[in-house]
Amino acid sequence: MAREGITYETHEKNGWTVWEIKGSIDMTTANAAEEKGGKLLTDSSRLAIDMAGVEYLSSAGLRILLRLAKRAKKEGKGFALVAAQGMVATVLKESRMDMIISIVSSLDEL
Amino acid sequence: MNWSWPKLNIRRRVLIMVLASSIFTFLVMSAIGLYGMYYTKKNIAEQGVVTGDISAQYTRGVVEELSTTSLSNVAKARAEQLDHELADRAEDATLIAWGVTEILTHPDRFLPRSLADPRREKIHSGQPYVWYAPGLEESLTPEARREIGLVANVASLLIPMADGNHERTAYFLGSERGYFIGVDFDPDNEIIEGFDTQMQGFDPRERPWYIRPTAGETYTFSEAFVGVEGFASVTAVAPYYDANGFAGVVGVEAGAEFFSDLTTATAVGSNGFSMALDSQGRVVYSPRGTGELTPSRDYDLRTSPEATLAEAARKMTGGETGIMAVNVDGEEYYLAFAPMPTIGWSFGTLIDCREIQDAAQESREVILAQSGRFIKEMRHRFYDMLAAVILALILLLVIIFFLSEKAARRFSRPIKTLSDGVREIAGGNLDQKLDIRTGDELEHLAVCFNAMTDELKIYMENLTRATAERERAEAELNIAAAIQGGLLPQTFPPFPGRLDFAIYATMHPARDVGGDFYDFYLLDDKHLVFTIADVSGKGVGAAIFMSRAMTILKNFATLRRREYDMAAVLAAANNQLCQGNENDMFVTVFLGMLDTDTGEFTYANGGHNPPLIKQGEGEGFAYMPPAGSCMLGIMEDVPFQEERLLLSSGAAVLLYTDGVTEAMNEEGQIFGAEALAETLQKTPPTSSPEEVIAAITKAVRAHVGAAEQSDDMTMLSIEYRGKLPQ
Repeated sequence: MAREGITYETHEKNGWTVWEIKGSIDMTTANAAEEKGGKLLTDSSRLAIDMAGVEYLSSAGLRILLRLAKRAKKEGKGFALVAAQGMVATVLKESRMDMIISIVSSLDEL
Repeated sequence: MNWSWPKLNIRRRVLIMVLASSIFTFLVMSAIGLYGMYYTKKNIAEQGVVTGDISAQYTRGVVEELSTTSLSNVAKARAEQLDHELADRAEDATLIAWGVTEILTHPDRFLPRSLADPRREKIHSGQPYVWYAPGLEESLTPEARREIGLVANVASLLIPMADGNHERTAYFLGSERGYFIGVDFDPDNEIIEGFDTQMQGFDPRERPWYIRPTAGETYTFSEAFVGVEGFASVTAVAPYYDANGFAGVVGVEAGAEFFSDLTTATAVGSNGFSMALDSQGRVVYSPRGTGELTPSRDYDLRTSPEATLAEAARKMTGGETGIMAVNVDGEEYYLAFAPMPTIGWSFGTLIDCREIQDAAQESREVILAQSGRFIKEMRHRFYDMLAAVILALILLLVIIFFLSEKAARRFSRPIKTLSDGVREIAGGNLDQKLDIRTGDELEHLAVCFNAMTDELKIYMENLTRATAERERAEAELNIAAAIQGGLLPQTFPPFPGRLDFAIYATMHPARDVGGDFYDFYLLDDKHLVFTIADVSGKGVGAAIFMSRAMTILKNFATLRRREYDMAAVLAAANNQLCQGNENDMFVTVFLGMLDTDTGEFTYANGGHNPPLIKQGEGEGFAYMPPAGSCMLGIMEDVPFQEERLLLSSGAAVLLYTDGVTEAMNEEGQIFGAEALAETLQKTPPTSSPEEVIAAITKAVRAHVGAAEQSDDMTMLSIEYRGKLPQ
């Protein structure tokens, strides 16, 4: 099962480092995403992940997001998921990630 | 032409090549050598013949030269010797004549003496005697008698002069008066015979030797022809004188001995002979009885019709020395000649040409025979040598064969070593190193091969390691699968005899093993607990976390069974799972409990996909609301919500994991929640849980097609039939 790798872009917004992920976060991309996210979290005090371009989120991907969130919480840094769409939003909703991670619908809400 | 090597190994090929080239070279060299030998042999044989001929010719020339030269020398030496002898005699005669002249001119100094008379007594050899011409003795005057007596004194001169002379000869004098005084020497006979016969009527003055002197001659020689004794003889003659002038002659005879010397000592060859020619060209002596060279008073050889003889005679009478070929009575001779100046003769000696030629021919034959023997010997040697050479060739061939064999073996040995080594390596011994030090391409090949072996070894080690890794992972997965599969209840129906509900569940693990599990158990007679969960992650870690979660959930459900509070169970399990969760694993859990008596359905959803539910007979399946709580294992003390529903008979619930809804086909499209709902709508209302699950499985498989299953696919279905009448 071949899937295109995800692409990452970052920019700053309202004091937040915004990380745009495009593609799928699953088993095949989870490690790379965790590594990249880890670095970004080290370099910034507030990391927001723009989920608008994420098409698929597997439980492995969910785990990466949770790990990053846990680390941010531990280090006293801001962490948020932004603008999840479709299936990703459903997964986030069904797994009640909102109970642990701040999830907002747009960058303006940051 | 399509020609190819037969299938031979390299050693044989090399052997054949080396052998072939060696033998070819060898045969060519042998052929050249043999041809050379043959040619030399032939040449030597031919040269032998030619050399034989040439040396025969040469020898013939030499022999002829030697023969003629020696003939000349013989003629010259003999002529000198004979001339010397004649000169001796002439000197003797002169000396005696002087003595007689002294007696006659000084008669007063001598006393008369008497001599033997052969008529009255025997005469001994060396005894002087006197002989008178017929009628002389009777008419002798006293004066004449006295003269004879005085002259007889000459005998005392004659005797010593002839002493030691062992030849048959005679010293004598003949007087003008007619008397004769002589001494005969005969080494063979004591008594001189023949006086009475040969001396009959003997008058010295009539003898051929009685030569009156002309113009002061001291000596001369008589003509040499057969004397009174019947022998050929020549006499040296010297005149003597008295007061009145010529009184007689003294003669010293060179007789038989001299001529026999002339005859025998000078003959060369079996047909050779000698001759003497006088100053008038007459043959004085020769052993020939007939023909041109017969001694004759009347024949001048210079007038011979045979030109060569006439020419030779002229040269001889001319006092020349020389040699020339002459024809004597039709026979070819070499005639060597030399002068005898004392007597004015020429001495000649002849040899038959054929004898010289025979000698030359003989030497030629000897040489030809010798060269023939040489050639024959050569041929023998040649064949011996040929045999030896052929033997040597065969020996050499054998040696070449063995050497070639050795060379080929030596050449092919590294190849064999190489191939043996390669076979060993191919057999799996990568530690085998090829040790070839030939310094050529083979060594290079071996070095390359060793390098390849090293790389192969590294590759093999890597492969082994990777394989071990994979096997380890595989084993891990197997363990995970075993853990997962071993924990799940798989006996259906699980509660035989319970007709008020039916339950069925399946779990299709992905290759990588997710962490799905399901579980169900009765807390008591009327409380059925069922759960479905999905652990994040894969593999052994997920499996272990899954088994932990499953155990913890069941433990707390059982521990708090009196409370019938699913939210409390999840909260307790969550706190338990959060402890020691270093890997940040989590699990989504749907935990439900059915009161089989009342149909009350109590549940709590910890982040799990909302199940589908049919609340009673005649109704359709619908998704339950999303989870009221988040997944377990992330954060302690998160709140969990409990929900309640009342189910009537014919109700059904389908629990599933995202392996079902997110099953992907090859295009990356997920099966989806809607498709799942549609599939359930299409199932007949009377379908059992097993049939429901089978239908969904079939639909999912149809969607996925050939794509690999990426996640565990787990489903649990419950049908509530209601409390049955007792």
